[in-house]
Amino acid sequence: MPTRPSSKSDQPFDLGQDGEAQFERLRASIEHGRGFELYFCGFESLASLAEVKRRLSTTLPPGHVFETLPLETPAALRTIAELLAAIGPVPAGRRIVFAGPSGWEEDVKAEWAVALRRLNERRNLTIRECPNAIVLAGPSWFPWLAHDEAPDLWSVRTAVFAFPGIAPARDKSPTLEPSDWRSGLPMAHELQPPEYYEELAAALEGSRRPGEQETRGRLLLRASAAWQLHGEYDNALRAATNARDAFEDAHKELMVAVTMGKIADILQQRGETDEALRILREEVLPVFERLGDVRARAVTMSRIALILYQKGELEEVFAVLGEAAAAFEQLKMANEAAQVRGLQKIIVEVKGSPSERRTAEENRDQLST
Amino acid sequence: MTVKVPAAVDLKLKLKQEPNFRDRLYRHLEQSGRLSDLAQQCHTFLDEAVAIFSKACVGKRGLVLIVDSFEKVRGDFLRSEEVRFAVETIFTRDWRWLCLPFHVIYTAPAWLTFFESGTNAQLGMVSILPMCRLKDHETGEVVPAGFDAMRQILEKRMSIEKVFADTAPLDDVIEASGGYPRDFLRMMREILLRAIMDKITPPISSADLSRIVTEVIRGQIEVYSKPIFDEDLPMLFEVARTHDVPRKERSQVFRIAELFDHHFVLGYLNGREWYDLHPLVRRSRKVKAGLQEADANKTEQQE
Repeated sequence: MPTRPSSKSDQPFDLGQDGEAQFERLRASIEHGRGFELYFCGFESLASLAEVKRRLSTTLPPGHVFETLPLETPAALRTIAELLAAIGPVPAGRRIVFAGPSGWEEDVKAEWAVALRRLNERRNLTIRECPNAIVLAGPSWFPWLAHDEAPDLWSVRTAVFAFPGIAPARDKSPTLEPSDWRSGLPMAHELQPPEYYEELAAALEGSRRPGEQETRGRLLLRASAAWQLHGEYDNALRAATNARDAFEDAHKELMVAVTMGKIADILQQRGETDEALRILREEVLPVFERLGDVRARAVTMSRIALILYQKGELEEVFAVLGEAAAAFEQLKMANEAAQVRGLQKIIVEVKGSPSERRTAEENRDQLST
Repeated sequence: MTVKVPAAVDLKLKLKQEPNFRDRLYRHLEQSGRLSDLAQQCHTFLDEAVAIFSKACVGKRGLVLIVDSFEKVRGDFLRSEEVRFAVETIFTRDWRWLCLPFHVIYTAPAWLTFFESGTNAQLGMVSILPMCRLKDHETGEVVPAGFDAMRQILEKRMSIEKVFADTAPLDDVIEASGGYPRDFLRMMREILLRAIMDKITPPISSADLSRIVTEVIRGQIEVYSKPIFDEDLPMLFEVARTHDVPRKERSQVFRIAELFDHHFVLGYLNGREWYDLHPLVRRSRKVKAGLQEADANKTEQQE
């Protein structure tokens, strides 16, 4: 997954031996081609995508006009056919149209799936409307998504270019552009309405590729988070359950466990604390333990402790928090460890420490005998 | 002859650009039972159109309408199943409306071709668009006429003698294309591009051409190999073995149609339809290994 920062430098940089060979092929294809041609370019590194785009925009021979489609968000891909149609040919020479949307990788993948299907349906029209060299750029999976979703588009006047990753040491750019293909989950304020994610997830439902099913699962997780923010817990639970099924189809054990944690979270909010506790203990924790994910295990322990606290089982809370704090300390996550130790202190204040309570209980027993 | 009907132009635009309008119109027609009326009206219009064409085109033998890209209709992502069902319904239940008062060629989705009942019997002849036959499917012998036909595709686009000193290595490209013209032209384009990149001045020598052909075919095998699903391998092996497509179950039909759409399986026609793997698929590592294993098992059993 490309997560490296893109280069903002105007200085050319080396794409590596294979990358340079791919670029030379692309350049020759553009220079010697005619009329409508479609180039599917998959990039393992965002930096190499930026470099290829820079070179195309600055180093093409006279008569070639470079134009980038305005695809600021993945959703803009829904109008790609209209955007291409609006461009038209160049009176003399050749126009190079570059389309490389930015945004969350999952959104990009689902929107590309929709856009490719649409372009596939109106292929003949696009060939007539946009007789240009069209460079479609995306992450490394992109050409294969095009293969699956747009077989007719794939088979006509096309070529595939796979640009490998570049050594991180060669990538000097310090900042991560907000428009990069990012991994992970967005912050709450970045979330779109839940329906948006569910629509995108539906776009990948028919795909048999595990990668696409994993992406679908991530989109459904986002839908679930968005429903949760709206306080619609039934919908949140439905979306999370669908996400779990998608991850199971993709054989992503870790993500299944993460999603089960999400389901426990929703159940807890609905007041179903016993079931939430059971899921965390029996279905989430064992997976993190088996996979050796110490951090995820510590976080889950903290969540278990909070549910136990809600249930008033303070003695067990203290022990579980102790385990979580030790794990965070082992990972040198001082802030998290301090937070958990802080929670332990609160428990002591509420109920007294286990040793204090044990001493008190022993004293009470002695007195009674 | 141009007839300007502003209202009709507006309606066409609305139908094209506003899916909601289209949906509402369809629902209204269906609910009010007027769909068949509309279809009848269209037929009446076409009857009149044929008469006008005949009058305008004296000496012509008739009218043929080609309805292209029907097979590409998949619907949006929320309704792909619905659209697939609708297309199936048109061809198997409502086929009468497709029978127009002149010759019509509809490009139908590949999966429809593989259904044994329905369209084939009712609407007329449903056939695959065959590839150029390069070998006999029973004897495996080369069919020179097929190679000549493929070479002609190239000759219509360039002066072969001026570009290539020796055309013999091109037979490897033709063979690798499986008689699929688009793949042949794509590989030829790649070959010429490599020659340009290598700064080779035409005519390209036999040695250079052989080297580039080998490289390009190797690259194309990779391109074909990557998207093959492991779960599709048994079906591909069956096609390779039987020269036919499995069509016992509905799910099998959709799956084989997908392989057909991606040209992993190619169809041929001589006397009857027969099928084979795309040569580039056949040469991919996992298919090659599977076929070799199957052959070895067969030999073992025979011994």
